Amino acid sequence: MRVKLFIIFLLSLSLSPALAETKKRPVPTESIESQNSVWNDMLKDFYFEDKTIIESDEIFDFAVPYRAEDGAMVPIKITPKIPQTKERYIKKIWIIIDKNPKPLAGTFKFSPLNGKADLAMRIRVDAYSPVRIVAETSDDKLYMVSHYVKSSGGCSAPASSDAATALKRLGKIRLKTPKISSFFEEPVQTRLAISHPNTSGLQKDQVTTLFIPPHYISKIEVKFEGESIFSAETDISISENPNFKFYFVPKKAGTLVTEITDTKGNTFTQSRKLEASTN
Amino acid sequence: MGKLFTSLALLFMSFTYVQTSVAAQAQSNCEKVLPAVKIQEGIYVRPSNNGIVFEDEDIANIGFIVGKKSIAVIDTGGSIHEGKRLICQIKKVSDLPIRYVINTHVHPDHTLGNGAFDDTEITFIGHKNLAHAMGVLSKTYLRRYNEKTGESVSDKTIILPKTSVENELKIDLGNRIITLIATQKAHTNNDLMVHDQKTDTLWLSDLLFHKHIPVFGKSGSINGWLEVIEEIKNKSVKNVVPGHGPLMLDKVKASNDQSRYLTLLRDEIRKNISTDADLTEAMESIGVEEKSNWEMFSAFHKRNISYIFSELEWE
Repeated sequence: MRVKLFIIFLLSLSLSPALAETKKRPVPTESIESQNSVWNDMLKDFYFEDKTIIESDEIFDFAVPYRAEDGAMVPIKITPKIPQTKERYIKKIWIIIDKNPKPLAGTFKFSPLNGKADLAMRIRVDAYSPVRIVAETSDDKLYMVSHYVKSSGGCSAPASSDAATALKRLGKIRLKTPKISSFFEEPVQTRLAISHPNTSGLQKDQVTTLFIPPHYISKIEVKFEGESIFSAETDISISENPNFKFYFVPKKAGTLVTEITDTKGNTFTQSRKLEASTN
Repeated sequence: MGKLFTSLALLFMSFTYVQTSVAAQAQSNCEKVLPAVKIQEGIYVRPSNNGIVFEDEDIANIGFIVGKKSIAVIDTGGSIHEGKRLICQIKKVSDLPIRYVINTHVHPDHTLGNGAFDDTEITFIGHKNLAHAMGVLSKTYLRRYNEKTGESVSDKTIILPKTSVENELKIDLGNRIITLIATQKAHTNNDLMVHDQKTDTLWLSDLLFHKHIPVFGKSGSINGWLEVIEEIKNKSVKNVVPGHGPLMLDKVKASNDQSRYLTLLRDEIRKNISTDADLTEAMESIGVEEKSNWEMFSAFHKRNISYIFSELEWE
């Protein structure tokens, strides 16, 4: 009897490949250690040498979707847990996507002028990978938070608009702040958007099917009345049409000026007057 | 002793079964394949299941049209296995030669089965933008397919269209004229629909989703798609074939449903962009009220918003 059962079991095994054909396919999974292997084996030393990094979300955390809807445009939002005071503030943020061809998406500098070091943008995520953010505080300590993102092909995905259209509006800048009723110590949200294909060098031309050379924004500087309030060095892991949201404290009326440089040496500028609205 | 012999014999048989089942799979055993659904005289559809590309199989409506002299395949499915099963389904219906493979657009659930068909005997046809789109995307699709399935399908199975349709192209399958119509940017930038004169059937593929949430392709245009749906709605055709979802449908209702959903997304995303809302906020808040109207809503709705958002952000 037992032998018969065993044979039925064997038969069911042998039948299963045929049946499995119409079922859901198994999805390979990855262990935590192998998820972090690129960072541990290579990236940590490459970007931070032998410095100590505290893995903790006590200074900040960030939000990123676990499953990217579009790998070429993954929204991330960093929320610090400390205010930017002269005594202690976040002075620099690194955004690293372990498995991207160029893992460092960018570095961003902050100061007490920001009031808070909140930062939102969209990045490219090329493969299932940890996205990690390292923040350096004014007392030279490094803190790191990482989140795993399931994504695919973010760096090689074709641009959302054709090259001709993108070229026509290349370098158009939107620099926006909400209406300000009076100038206080309160941080004001600033939105900086640039129309730029930010090509990664890994995308192909839809017509020639040749690789499109990399052409991306490499440097961003925003000043308010001559003082730097947002300064970034960026790479190919920033999505096309880069879009940043950050804060600063406008203590008085004045002019906001941005200067953006890309890898072909183009410079794009835009300015905006900040005045208290009367209503 | 006799019992043991029987058991051993059974065991042996079960092993031979394993072997034959592997061999049969390799030849794509036609007996196990369910026949395609005849929706009109000479028009057959292998109906879709709801599913995710690379994770599930048979997720698009694909099929074929049989004339007096030859057969045209419309879309080949998401894998070589699917393409082979489609060939089985054709053989169950007719011995006429397959002369044409028409791909309605680039997406993998419609094109990855091309390799099952012999390109020395068959003319592959697509929208004028399809060859380029496949040139750019198909290798990536295949890499992801291999990652997900553990198979190692070669790039050589990718077959690009050799005949391209700029506006319209008529094909005679023997006493049966079908017209291939290229559209403007809509679901993708390479959509093609197929009209069969004899039964007045318009094969829309992914230009029309039925019950399944409309899925916006990255190269598509939200305004273009809305215009194309309006044209489809006003066309006086007897039957239509949607790309995903049940085959029995009311064309006007299905078009209206799709227009309502896409118009809502377009208008709300425009509002979000003008008020500087985050993409994340847009994905969380827009169109939630549509959830109960569609199958597979959670799988595609947020991605639709993300794609349309990037299209409209700098319009």
